[in-house]
Amino acid sequence: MKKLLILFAFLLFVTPIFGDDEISTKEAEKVKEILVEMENAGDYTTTTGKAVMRIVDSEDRETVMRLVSFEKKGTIEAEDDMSLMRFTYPARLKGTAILTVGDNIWYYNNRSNRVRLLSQSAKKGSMMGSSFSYDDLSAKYSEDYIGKIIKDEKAYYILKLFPNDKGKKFKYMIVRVRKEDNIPELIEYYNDEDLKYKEMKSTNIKEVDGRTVPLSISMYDIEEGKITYFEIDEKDVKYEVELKDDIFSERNLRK
Amino acid sequence: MKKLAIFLLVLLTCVPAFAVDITSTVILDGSVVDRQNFVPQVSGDIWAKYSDLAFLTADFDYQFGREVSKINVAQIKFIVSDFDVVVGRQQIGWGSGYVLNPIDIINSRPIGSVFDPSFIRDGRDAVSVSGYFLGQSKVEMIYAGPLSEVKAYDASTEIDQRFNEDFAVKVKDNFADFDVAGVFINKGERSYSANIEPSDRVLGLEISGTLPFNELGFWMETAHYTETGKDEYLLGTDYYFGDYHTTVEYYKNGFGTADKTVYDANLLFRGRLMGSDYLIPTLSYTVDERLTLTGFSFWNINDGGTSFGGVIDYFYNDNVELILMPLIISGSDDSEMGQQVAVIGNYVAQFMVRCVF
Repeated sequence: MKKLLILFAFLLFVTPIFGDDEISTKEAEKVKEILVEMENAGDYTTTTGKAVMRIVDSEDRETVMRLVSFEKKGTIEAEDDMSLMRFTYPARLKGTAILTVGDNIWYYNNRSNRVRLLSQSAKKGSMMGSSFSYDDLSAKYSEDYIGKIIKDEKAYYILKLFPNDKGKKFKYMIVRVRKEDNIPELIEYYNDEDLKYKEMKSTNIKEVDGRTVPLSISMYDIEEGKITYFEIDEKDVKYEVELKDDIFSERNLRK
Repeated sequence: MKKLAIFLLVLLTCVPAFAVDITSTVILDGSVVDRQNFVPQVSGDIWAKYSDLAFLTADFDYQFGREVSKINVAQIKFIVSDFDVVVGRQQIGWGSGYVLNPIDIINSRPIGSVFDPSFIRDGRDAVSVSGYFLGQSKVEMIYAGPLSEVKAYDASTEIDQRFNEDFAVKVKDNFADFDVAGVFINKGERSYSANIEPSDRVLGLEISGTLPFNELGFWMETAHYTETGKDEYLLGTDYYFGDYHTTVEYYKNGFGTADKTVYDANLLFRGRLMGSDYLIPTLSYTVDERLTLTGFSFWNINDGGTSFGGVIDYFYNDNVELILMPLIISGSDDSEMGQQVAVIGNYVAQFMVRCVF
């Protein structure tokens, strides 16, 4: 009986089971390495810049929002990735801000002058009416997902990633990662019925300030026929600027 | 205060004119009220912000309308190391509750204002110091000076408000993914025409985060008035499913009573409710990024009176927002809602065009 238990524990350890998708520990470790490289794509620890978010709905009506953003990747001292987005246009949204520290997201509504910590269910919701969810802002791929390599092509890894948190809206993602610069060129989101319902693309990949980065990221919501373009202004993006941790606090949300 | 406001306005607009960010709002507003005449009006506000220097920002907000002409904000913020010092008329909003906030005492917002897109919080002349430390830790200290103003709620109702000075401290941090804040407020005596609310010392607690099951949002606020022994608390939860967002709040009002035969109408003049227990559910549906539909109910559990309301909020374009807000009030003659029905009738419908530039 004891041997059987040991064998059972060993099997659980080496082959986590996700329906028909079996992932060996070795493969999971390889995928984790790719995801760490993917998170470090662009080779920067801090960045600031201006961006435009364009939402185009199924009837081709366009809504434009402008924002300034600050981002600092986690370090050994402060493990959490941190980001702050402050909207500057249109006038009705001016001052509205979103702060992300690790898994926590705070939303500042300029109109009500209040800061709210978003609940887990709120994170699945649409960010500012776009096709991006708040969850998309705080994704830490190497920690939040486990997966396998389904194709190892000359220029790409094709990964199938499962969220560790089974409460996520999607069942799994198919990710196409460029080998030359570790940029995730395409992420497809699949629901419980194995139907693709969202698709994120990185385009306009350029060398800026010695780093290869995507200047446009689009999220296509297939169910609603809505697409959101998040476009970074090449002229205003800066890397490795000094950003103290206290920039990512309620202090700057209300600025 | 007016001199300071004029000085600030000149400073904001003339000296560094190129760096002042101005946001103007104009609201065309009409209400159809069951037992009152149609009341159209134009109102709005002009907000000027100067934030071109790393160590200083300045804000100025002037609100205008048929019954309103006032300065809500005239403040300068000094940013020094880990501290922000704000001097002048400022908006101080405390609490994480959605509809009601027991700890929002210094310049509290009126009940129901969360559903009014035209609402702008009053300012209070104050000095506040906020210290920001490791992570999300924050300590806030506020001295709010005496207040004296005649407030017109409508064409026939004016209240002479006089507040003595307040002093408050708030300590906030994030523990285990929950925002937690402790509050102490030394609240001065307040008079609302002939109604007096005595001074008190208030201890408060605020917690918000996500419950460990079903991803439900959770928040609570409590305020314990140490001198009079009154307690207020609010428990709330919310959940998002797809494009729907629902919230439910329960409010326990220690100032009110569960017995409708001994309701104290003076509480209404003080911005308080007369009952003891309330349930406030809301449901919002985001049709798309331009159109949001919201329904809500405000239920006095003790006397059964209820109001049902809705907000249809449509962004015609980036600058123009169209809002329709119907409200139905029901309750027996001796209920809290019933007393409102006697004054305004069973229904109110407000239509608003809000232009922001």
